[in-house]
Amino acid sequence: MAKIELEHVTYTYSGRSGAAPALRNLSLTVEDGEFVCVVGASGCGKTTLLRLLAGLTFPDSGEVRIDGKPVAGPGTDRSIVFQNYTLFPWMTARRNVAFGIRQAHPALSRAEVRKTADEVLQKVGLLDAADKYPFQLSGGMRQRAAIARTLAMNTDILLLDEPFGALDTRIRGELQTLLESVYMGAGSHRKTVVFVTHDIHEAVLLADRVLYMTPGEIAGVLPVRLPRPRRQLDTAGLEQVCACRRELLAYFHADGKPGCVCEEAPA
Amino acid sequence: MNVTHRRFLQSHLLFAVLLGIVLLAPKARPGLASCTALIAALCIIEGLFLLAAWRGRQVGKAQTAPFDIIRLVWALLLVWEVMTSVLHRAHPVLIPAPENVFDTFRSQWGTILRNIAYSLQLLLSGFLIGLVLAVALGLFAGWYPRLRAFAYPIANVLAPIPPIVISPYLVALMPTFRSASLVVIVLGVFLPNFLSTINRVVSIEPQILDSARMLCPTGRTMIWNILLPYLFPSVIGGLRVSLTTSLLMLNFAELMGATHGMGYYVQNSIAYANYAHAVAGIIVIGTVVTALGALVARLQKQWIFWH
Repeated sequence: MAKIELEHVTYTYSGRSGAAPALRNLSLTVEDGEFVCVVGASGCGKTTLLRLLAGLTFPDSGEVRIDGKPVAGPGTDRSIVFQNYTLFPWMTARRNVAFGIRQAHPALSRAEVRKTADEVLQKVGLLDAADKYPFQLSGGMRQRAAIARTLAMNTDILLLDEPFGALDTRIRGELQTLLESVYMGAGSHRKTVVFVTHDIHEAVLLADRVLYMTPGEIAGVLPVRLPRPRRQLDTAGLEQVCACRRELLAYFHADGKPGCVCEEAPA
Repeated sequence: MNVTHRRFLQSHLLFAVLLGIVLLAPKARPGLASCTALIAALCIIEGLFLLAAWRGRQVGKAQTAPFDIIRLVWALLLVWEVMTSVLHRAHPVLIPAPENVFDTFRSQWGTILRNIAYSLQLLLSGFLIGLVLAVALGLFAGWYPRLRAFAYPIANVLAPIPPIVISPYLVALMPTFRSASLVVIVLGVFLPNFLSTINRVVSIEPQILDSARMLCPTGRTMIWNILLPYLFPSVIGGLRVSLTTSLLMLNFAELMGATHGMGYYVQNSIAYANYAHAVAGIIVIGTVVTALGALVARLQKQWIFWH
């Protein structure tokens, strides 16, 4: 069943420097329980796509539907990690996480909220820093706290905008594993994930399907059929992974311009 | 001998000369009060100076300000004392002697304290009412576009009119003088803070706002859990200016026909040509203002640690 549907979506970004089309007549379906990664050069509309799904902005034409219903605004069935970590500076790491949980699950008791928050903080390796305020945390720690807040909300749909960009390789691997386990869930029901990244390896590692975007549209789709759970180390040298990466790189090179390809495109 | 030592010595030399003149020099002016209160005041000033110099050393920075200020203070007091009490060259009524000014604190302390209490009560209640109203209403007006479009232009027209200008009318309008001055202060604090609260809500960091919108299903959590704490630092940051403004309003209001308060005390002393009391009152007002400012600065440091 289709969880997320975009139908002929056009979105024009109007800034001070004039109007620029961010998405042109884009259609996309994400199945329930699917993990979709979106790659593409900077400024090709990846973030806009996520903001539309989040309900933070609305298309100029076309429709965005979740569970068959048009998106009318943000909702606690979706949670998002922004590219620039946005913790609330007046709350400690734990309170930031707990706040997210309380909003998504108002029925939980105070003790349950705290327990869940501590569990997730433990998983992202921040339990020792739980009582610190964002200004006392390093950039990477803040990003982990923001990820913890989103994962702790345990929503059906996860939207992530380059969540692991600021993290070192090892922590990144740990969080990728964590994300995958959250995605797979405890029971049989998988979550639906839309994950924007600049890292081709990360996309192949995590996704069921990788979308390659050129400015305004989806230019290529690459299914990744690898068994789960996948691990950073286990999958690193697999022939199938290398093939996928090659294919993705080919997309980036398709326009023939030199120098526009890198795994870490400048933000 | 290094520079710091020289500064230290100079200031204490001035202090010693001043003390010597106050205690020993033959006085030419008639009607001088006892110099006990003046000596006590000088000792308090010296103590404050030593404290400031010691604190500067604790911080470890070579500070010049306490030394410069204290030398200026001693020099001015010296000139004042010599021109009035010793040489009797200043106007005998308009320029009171320091002995008489500082003796006012001893003879009038009850009256002065009562008036301070009265002024502060009025100031703080008006200030709090104005600030709370401004933040609460500004928050709503900032958050709901329709309300903002309606309220902002109105406030924008009213805010630049200084409440001081309408205060004589308010005094005539309101049943008591106390209520009139309260309204003046409330207005003076409310309008600018209302406008700036709206502006702050409108210009909230887009990232914070986006996260908040993703997390807050209801307007109530948005306001209580996000907007209020977000605004808090800037409200506290504006506290000092607001406090100064309201103090200005209050003193002005008190000059116009109050029966209590520090502004009234000064005004009343001048009316009876008791300039010693007037100068003492001015010193008290200055001290109270400084103390309030220091208190606010301290609150700012303690409450907005995350900024």
